[in-house]
Order: sequence, then structure tokens, then C-alpha cells
Amino acid sequence: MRRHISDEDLSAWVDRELPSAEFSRVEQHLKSCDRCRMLERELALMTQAFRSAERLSLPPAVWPRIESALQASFPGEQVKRRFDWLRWPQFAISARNLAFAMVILALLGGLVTVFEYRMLRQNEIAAIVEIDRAHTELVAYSPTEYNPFRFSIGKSFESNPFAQKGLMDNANPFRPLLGNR
Amino acid sequence: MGGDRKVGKLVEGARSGNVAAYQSIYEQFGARIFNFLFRLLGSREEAEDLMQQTFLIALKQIGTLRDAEQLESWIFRIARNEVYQRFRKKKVESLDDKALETDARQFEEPRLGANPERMLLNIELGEVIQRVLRGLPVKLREVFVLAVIQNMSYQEITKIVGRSLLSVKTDIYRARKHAREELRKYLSRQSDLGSRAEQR
Repeated sequence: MRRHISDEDLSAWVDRELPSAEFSRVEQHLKSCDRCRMLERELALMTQAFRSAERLSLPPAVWPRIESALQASFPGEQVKRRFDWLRWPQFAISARNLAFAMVILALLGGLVTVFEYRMLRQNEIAAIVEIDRAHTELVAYSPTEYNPFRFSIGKSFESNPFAQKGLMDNANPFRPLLGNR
Repeated sequence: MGGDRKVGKLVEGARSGNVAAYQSIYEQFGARIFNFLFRLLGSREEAEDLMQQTFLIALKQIGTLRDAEQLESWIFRIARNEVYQRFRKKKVESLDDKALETDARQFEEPRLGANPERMLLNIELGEVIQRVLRGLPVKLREVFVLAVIQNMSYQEITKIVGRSLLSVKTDIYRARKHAREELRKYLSRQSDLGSRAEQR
């Protein structure tokens, strides 16, 4: 004689809480067993009746009571209201922070500018020193031959800015090196 | 997933003391908790009272909640504890089935008045349900309300009542059996009353 489904399993079946293997077994059994099917129907109807019972909606009086009790238990600043972020003291603190940040940024900007200027100036001085060093070396090597503008004197007099009339003697820094040329 | 993220944000807001987050939590879970309390206690006034108590505790202690996803079952657990405390206050010495059953039967017994037959015939489904629930020991009543009325999964119920899955399954079955007997008694009483009324 085949075994009926236990009432406990039928109860879990009605709640769709049986594991899948058990579920198939119960499903198959119910197709062929009148006794279990009737019991299952009865449990399902009862469940449906209980589930269809009126659901009470949220009582309106409770939340205000909870809110005031919360306010009483967290005195002062701990309970933040919906638009608290717009309130003056908080906003004032933000403005102060903003001003502070701007001052810090301006100071940092000034420092960077001064540093960059000093770096440029140092590079410029280094370049002048280097030119001077090269020039001194070349002059020492050939005091009569060295003239950076000499190549243009022979070809086009006009291309040498220092060879122009009236400027040659005064404006050419290499003039003393040119001798009688 | 989206719902979980929303609950997570609400919990985060409530932890930082944001009253709008408190209110959203109350609005989201309040109705289910209130119905649970009402079905366990059988009195609207008492359910409102414990509802306030439950949410006050939950919102004050929300910082202790470790997993935001467990918020609902956590609030249910608080509500359940409050119900048990209420029963204890009502001079219930122990929480074993027998004592609670006695208590449940004493709890808000319907006043039948001068014309009990007529009154019983006029009882609506909601009242029948409350009568059946009152007849259940609290241990069975709570799982019955959660599984059958609130349509919660057995797994969720284990988290609320703190019992094993097997124990929850058995208790739900026992509660169903009990409820079925109560319903049968009620229906046969009703049909007796109906036939007596016809004989007159």
C-alpha cells in the first residue's frame, strides 16, 4: 500500500517550501491520491482565507509619537531634519571652509610662481655663464681669428649688424678681438 | 538588488541621525510590523503601543545592526521580543506552551453579551481569524502569522524567531492543525446555531 504524504510536508507544500525533489514527489502523489488531495485543498483554502484577511494600514498617530520621543532622547543636534543642510550655521561653516581653501590655493599659487621665476632666472644665468665660458675659451685659443660674425663680413657687409657704419667700433663686443681687420 | 541598495542607504542615513531616513524606514516596514503585532496581540491599541516601542528601539539602536540587508527581520525580532515582554508583564510566569495557551485564551475573550447566538452568527472573517489566533499558543501563533498571513519564507522566519528550519516547519504544521480544528469547531457551532434558529 502506498504511503500518504505527511501532514507536515503537505503544510510545507502549501507554502511552496519543499525542496524541488520533494516537491515533484508530492505533486505526483497528489495526482493519484484523493485523501491527500482533499487535505491539501483544505489547507490551501484555509491559508487563502487567512491571507485574504484585511491588512491594517499604518496608524497615523504613531509616527508623530515616535518622532517626538526621538527628539526627546537625542536632545539638540543629533536628529537632523529633512532640510537641515540649508540651515544658516551649517551653510556658514561651508562658506568659511571655502574661503580658507581659496586662501590656501592663492598661497600655493604664489609659491609656485616665485619658484618658477627663480628657476628661470637661474637657467638664464647658467646660460650666460656658459656663453661667457665658451667665448673666453675661444678667445684664448685664437685671439686674432675668433669672430663669430667674420663669415658674413666677406660675403655681405650688411648682414653683420655690428659691421654697419657707425656701429662697428662701438657696438661690436668682439671688436677688441678683431685687431686691424 | 536595487531594493537592498535603497535599504542600505536608509540605514546609513538613520545611523547618521537623519530623521527623514527614520521616517522612510518606518513607512517601508511599518505596515507589516503593525499587522504582525496586531495578529499576535489581538488588540489594535496594544499593537500601536508596541509599534511605537519597537521603532523607537530599532531607530535608536540602528548603529548596532551589522548587515543592512537584515533590517526587516531585525525589526521583526525586536517587535517579537516586545510582544514576549508584554506577555511577561501580564503575569505570565513562563513562556512554555501551556502557560501561553492559558494566557492566550484569557486574552481579550469576546464578550458575547445578552444575545450570544446572534452575535456569533454575525462574526466576520476577520474576527474568526482573530479568534483562531487567540486559541494558538504564542510560539505557534507567531510562526503561523509570519508564514500564513504575512507570507514569509521559512528561512526568513528562522531569522526572526531564532529556531531551526525544521522546528519552524513543524511549528507551522502544528499551528495549521490547531487552526483547522478551531475553524471546524467554529463552523460546527455556527451551523448548530443556524439550525436552532430555523427550528424556532
